[in-house]
Amino acid sequence: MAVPLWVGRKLLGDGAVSDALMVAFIVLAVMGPLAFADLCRRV
Amino acid sequence: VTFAGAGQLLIFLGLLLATVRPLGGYLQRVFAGETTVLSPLLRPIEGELYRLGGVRPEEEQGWHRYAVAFMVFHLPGMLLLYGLLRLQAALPLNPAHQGAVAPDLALNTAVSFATNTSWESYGGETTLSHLSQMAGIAVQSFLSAAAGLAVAMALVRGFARRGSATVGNFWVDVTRAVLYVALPISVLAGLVLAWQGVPQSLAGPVAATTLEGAGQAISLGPAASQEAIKLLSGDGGGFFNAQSAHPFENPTALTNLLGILLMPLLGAALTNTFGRMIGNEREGWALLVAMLALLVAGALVLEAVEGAGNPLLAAAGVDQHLGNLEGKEVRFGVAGSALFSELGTATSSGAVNAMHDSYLPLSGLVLLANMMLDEVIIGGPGSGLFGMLLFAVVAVFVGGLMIGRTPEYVGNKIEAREIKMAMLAILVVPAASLTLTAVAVVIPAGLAGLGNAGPHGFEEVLYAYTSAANTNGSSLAGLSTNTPFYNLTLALAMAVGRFLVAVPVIALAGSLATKRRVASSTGTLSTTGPLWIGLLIGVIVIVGGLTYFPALALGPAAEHWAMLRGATF
Repeated sequence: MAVPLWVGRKLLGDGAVSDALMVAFIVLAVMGPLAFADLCRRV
Repeated sequence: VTFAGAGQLLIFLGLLLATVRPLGGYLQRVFAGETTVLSPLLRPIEGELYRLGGVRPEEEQGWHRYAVAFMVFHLPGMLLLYGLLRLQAALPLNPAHQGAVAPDLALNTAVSFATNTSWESYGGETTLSHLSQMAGIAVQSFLSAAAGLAVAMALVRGFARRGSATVGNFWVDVTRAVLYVALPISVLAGLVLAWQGVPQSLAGPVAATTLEGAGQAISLGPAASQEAIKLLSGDGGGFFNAQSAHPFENPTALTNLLGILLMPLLGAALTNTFGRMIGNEREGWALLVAMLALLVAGALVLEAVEGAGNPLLAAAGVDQHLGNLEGKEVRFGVAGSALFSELGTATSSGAVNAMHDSYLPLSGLVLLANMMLDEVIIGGPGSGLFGMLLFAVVAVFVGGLMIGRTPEYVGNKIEAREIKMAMLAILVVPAASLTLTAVAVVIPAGLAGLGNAGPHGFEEVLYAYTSAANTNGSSLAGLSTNTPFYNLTLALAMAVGRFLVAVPVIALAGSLATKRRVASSTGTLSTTGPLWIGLLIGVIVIVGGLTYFPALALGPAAEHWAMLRGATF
């Protein structure tokens, strides 16, 4: 995690922390519904 | 309704209906893997793509694997678009020297275009580089439309198959949707747009001096290629900030007509594809008639309300004989604007050629209602068809309750599991949009973006979340949404509206595919006649009405009655 953040800070400055949060949002937004798919399987 | 309005509506309907059977048949052959006129050119490319991706096209997937593939497919696209937007200042094809897009706006934009929404909290020509537009926005327009088509095909296969454990191969469906459907139509449409004057250039802005002596930067870019897929894909995000009201994005009456036709093109044809795949084209026509009845009703109300003009301006002595022209391009007038707006909201495209914030309150109600009915009035490519099929499942259930029989639809017995999946998919969108609207209108971060007070301000917020959760993407324009609060919450609404709808739809497909055919009998509700079409429309309007009536009453309805008393906001 530290290496991408360091590279991010070099390229984007202080926005790198925000970028880490936004990327986490994207990953959760896409992969979170997989749990929903499991719920649909059990219903 | 004016002669121009009625004439444009009739021409549009005639042209659209003429495309339904040929294009519907073509789509059926494409997704069945049959030979088409483009096969000699595209089949080698298709085969090479499978080889590179390690896809075995003959290997089909069960619904769960199909749903996982659908979700996983979106991840790299979103991350790539996010990265492009954040790094665009250091990347080539940036003649206007656009800086990095802020993190929250980049997130919102990445989710927006990957989910086929195209909500834009930015002005295209003042924010994005050419590379971001071409490799980011346009690519996602193709891919998101293809993913929507794939989900619809899975559901149609579910209805068509008997005792099958699989619903198709997601990767094959997406590849064919891009290669055989989106690309060829976009190339043709892009050439027409460029011929009509839409720029297709990698040059930067041209400096000009106005008649008053002021300096002006006239933005150029690869607009024609992007405009074509914008209109076809249901994405609807404009190259320029003023969208299809901009003379470079929509320069002539012909391009306006082309836009009106491209937006519902795939959604309408898919009803015929559905009919062909289940072996009865009349089933498809019944769905299309229900869609078109709602579409024409909305268009006529818009035309009548906007054509009558603003009563407050008329009372003040302002000539209103051309209708309410505030926020509209005079080139298109009320007729060309109303029909475009009806299709932009009904088809999930979200493209606009007039400012929806300037429409009269009752027109605003129609635009909202188009989206609130789950984008089933033709809807987006794929999403419109599977949305309508969800309502068909609910409608046969309601019909079954009325006559005391187990409901059936196109030879499938509809049981508890199918109803659960359909209701999950239908209810998740209003749950997201209404909850987020309620939050935004009570907390300072939400209220800070309001452009107007009172019911119109409420409508701005309601419109934003309704548009996002229904993956429409049009905006009322009065609300300032380029803030961390709106960028993040709208992104959440878009993700919910895309993924949490698609999963139960694919689950429904899997459930239906395993069923055995039920022979129709004299007690089977016919799903091709006027009674069925009326029942289907009734269920759509009642479910939508009951869900959204309080919110509509607080917004556009309250604003309408206040306007009649002389109050504005």
